[in-house]
Amino acid sequence: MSQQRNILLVDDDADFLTATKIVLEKSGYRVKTCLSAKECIATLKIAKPDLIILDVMMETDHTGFDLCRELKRDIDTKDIPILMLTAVDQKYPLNFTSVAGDESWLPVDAFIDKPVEAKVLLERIKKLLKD
Amino acid sequence: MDSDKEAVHQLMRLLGKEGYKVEAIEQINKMLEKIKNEQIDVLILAVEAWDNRGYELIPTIKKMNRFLPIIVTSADDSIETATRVREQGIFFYAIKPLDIKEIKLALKNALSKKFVSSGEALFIQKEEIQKAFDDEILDLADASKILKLSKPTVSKLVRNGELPASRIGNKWYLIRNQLLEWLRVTAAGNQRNYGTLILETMDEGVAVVDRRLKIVSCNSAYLQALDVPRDQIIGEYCYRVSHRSVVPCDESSCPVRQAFRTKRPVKFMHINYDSEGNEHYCDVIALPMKEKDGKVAHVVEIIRDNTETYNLNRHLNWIRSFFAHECRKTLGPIVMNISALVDENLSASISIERRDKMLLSSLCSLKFLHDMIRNYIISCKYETEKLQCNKKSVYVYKNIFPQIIEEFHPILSKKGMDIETEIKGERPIWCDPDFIKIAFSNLINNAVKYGTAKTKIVCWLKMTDDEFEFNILNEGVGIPHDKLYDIFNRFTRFGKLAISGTGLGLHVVKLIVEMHNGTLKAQSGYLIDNKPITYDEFYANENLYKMKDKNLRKFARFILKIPSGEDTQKMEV
Repeated sequence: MSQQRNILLVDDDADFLTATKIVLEKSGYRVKTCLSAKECIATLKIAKPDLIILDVMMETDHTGFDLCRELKRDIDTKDIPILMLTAVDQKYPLNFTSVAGDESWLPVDAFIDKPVEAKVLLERIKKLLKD
Repeated sequence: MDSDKEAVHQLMRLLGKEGYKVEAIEQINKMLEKIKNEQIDVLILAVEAWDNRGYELIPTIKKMNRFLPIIVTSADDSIETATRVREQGIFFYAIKPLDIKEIKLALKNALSKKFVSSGEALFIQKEEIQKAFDDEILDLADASKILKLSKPTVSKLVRNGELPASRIGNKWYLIRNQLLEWLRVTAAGNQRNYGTLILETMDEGVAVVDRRLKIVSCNSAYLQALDVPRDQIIGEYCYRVSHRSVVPCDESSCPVRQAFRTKRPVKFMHINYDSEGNEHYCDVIALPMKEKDGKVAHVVEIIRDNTETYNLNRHLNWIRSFFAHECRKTLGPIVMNISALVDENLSASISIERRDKMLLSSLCSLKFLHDMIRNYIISCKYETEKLQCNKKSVYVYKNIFPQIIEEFHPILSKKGMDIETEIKGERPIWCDPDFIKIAFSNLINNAVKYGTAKTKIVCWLKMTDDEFEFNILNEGVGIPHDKLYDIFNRFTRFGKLAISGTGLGLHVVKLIVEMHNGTLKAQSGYLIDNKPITYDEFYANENLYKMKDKNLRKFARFILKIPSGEDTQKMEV
């Protein structure tokens, strides 16, 4: 890594945030954590990360999607790649497009199934950051 | 028959002279008996007989013997009476004072073995007359025996005109042959209605729809399913009734239309709405009724209301997905921590202290997962009545409590929390120690989960001869005032979704308390100068109420009480 990349980790599960933060930091990333969508928006106003890792279900079943839409609408944040964590496997019949609205406008760069192993998460992050 | 005795005697005398055998009868019963038993050739009946109701007998007499010529005499020369009497199909109508010549002529014609019936001249066969006369006259009591029905029922049928009978005065008379014929016809009629009867026995709503998509018939279950009275359904378009729509459904979504076209049975799942707009999840089965030429003139539509099953399934699916979601959420940090610890490169870069924390965190998550599964199983077993309570005499504080506190140690230390315990009197109580342990564990878990980090959880155990009381108080998010009673229901959770939980923990505590004939109460309110003040106390106190807008700390408290049990003092643990 030529320079330290910044990752914003958004999840309402404090235990998961703590565990993932350690893994990412020990892998050379600079990590900021947020427990809510509101906190995420406030943090983004201060600094722009290179990647946002976002949990799909926080306060409600689709808080993650709502936040995604908002971020992709905002000119300042629309180019930041988003990796969405979900506890619902896409293979199972939860229709993401019906939750998110328009399939053609699904504002997520990649999905990753939760629970996720540290190695898998790190590989996916690398790919998204094109490192 | 005539009430005018003088006139009767005169007529008898005159006719007797002509060689006729004449008999006068005053009682109706006797007359009918005579008609039945004796070969009366001609009946002369006075309208005035039996309080001007003599002519009312004519239908009965006709039923007994349709060939018996009846000559009716009347003092009333009005056309109305004449018409009314003649309508009964009599042989001759004579107005009083009687012209004896006229009567003689009428008698002669009546006895000429020839008379007009149904517009055709018929010879009266002696045997036929005999057969007709064999008809037995029955009163209501006789009829009720034959019909095997109670007398009031028969009387009702007669009065409603459903049974063939004639009223003479205040009494009703029936004829055996006619009664038997009525029975036969009624049975045949019922046979024709078997289809309808079968439909009525079905729980499913069944309707018959014609090609115009109008409902021509339906059973009660159909009416019930759609919550509409029969008169609003018959003749109405099925789509109006089922879907409150003014246009027919598209054929792709209409099994009835498909059955008409394909001539094959079709099954669909439909959402119908009742008159209150409630959704009904129904299987709609359309069965084509083919005519002899192969055309489908009607379709039988069967509506099987599966709403209850559907809702149960939906609820079950919700529970399953809720449970699965909670499991996976809890597994998130476990998998992350353990996978990092087993990764050589990563693990090497993590300090020993940090590694210990990661392991502790994983252990806490695993304990949570374990408790969640246990609560789930208890709740399921309770509902299937497979939960057995093995009570024995137990010293709660000595034998149960310290063990639980020990188990919670990692979780408490992770959150920087502490448990303060106060005990009053240690006596054994009659309980199932395993269940009581689970109850304590769930209550403590709840206090840790919703408690503020680095605060104290206060437990208070009091044991008397009569009851055991357990109090647990924590500072934290509290319980909303209006939810204090709902909190023990299944899958009730307040506050942030982030706090994982089965939504079963407190519910299971309630089940356990019920199994021990105890009580469980939730309290919540504000901590004022470290003193818990319940919502009720707070709102009732003006001085306290003034503080409502201040950022007050909240508390939640649970009070569990169970009877000690009578014999516990004598028993050893």
